Amino acid sequence: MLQYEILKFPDKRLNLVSKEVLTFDDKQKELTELLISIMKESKGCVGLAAPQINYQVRTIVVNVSFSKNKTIIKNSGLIVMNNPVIIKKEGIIVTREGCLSVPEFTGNVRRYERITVSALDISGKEFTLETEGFEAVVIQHEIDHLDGILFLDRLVSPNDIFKRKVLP
Amino acid sequence: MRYYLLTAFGKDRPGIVKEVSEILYNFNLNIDDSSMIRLNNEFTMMLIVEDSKNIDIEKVKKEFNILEKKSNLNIALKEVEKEDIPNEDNPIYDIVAYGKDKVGIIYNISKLLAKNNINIINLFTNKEKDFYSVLIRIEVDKNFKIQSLNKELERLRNDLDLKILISEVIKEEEM
Repeated sequence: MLQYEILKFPDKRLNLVSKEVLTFDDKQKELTELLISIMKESKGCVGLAAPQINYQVRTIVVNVSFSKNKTIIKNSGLIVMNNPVIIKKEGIIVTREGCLSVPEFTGNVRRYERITVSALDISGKEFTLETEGFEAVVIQHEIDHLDGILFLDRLVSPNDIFKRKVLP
Repeated sequence: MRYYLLTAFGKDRPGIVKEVSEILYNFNLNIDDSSMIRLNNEFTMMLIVEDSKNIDIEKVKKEFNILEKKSNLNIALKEVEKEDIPNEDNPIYDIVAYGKDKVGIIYNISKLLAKNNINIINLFTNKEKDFYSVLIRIEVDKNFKIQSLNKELERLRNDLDLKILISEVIKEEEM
């Protein structure tokens, strides 16, 4: 079993830029499966990026199937992406985002509403995904993790960050 | 670790927060949670402070007594238990009520909430001339039927001639 640690803000390792996945061996597969199982086990978790568990490689997993978010337009089920690149983007959507690495705090973030992403699947095969709404938001949030960017760096308004139980 | 609740208020002017927090800083007391707000022209502060150095609190109290007299503030300091908030996963709702101001709006809404054993987490009110609005964030038990509260709020709407809205605060998903 792979060792891991869920990194939390202000851990500087969350600011590192992750390396491309070059080999699709058993270790890479094990990491992907670990990401999927952590996402599944964390209540209300819709996406996870490898650097969040201290593996600085460009692998993300997303699943909005059980989400209650109102901006869900498309649901592709479980998505595994290695070396994801956004190749087309349009529109603007503002969503209140939360992050496993910034527990309890939430803030409004502006993202592209519709995106097309090119990536490699779990076995290294190239594919593209067109998506929109909340699923597109989650993918952009995860890709940011690969570049060492947190949603805190993208708040629509700097004073818009608070805990769930505190009123604005 | 010890925790204290500090309350301080006085006629508003620049420097109140500085004077209070300076004493805390000098004794190495950390502000854990706080609400500081101007109500009319009174500045009010409520703080939970954390003492990790096991300091002599009587010395702190003495400093605040001096400040109280010098700065014309009302200050109180009391040791409190620090407990984790129970039932973090309970559903949270916002109740918004607004309309013409009258005596008893808060009383009648809170009476209804208390009767249903509902806990208030936060409450904010606003008044502008005759227009009054209140925002109440409540926490209900997982098994509580919110429809029953809706029915009772409906009655209150008519009795108080207010708009009263209730909506669930959805917990943001993590990614």
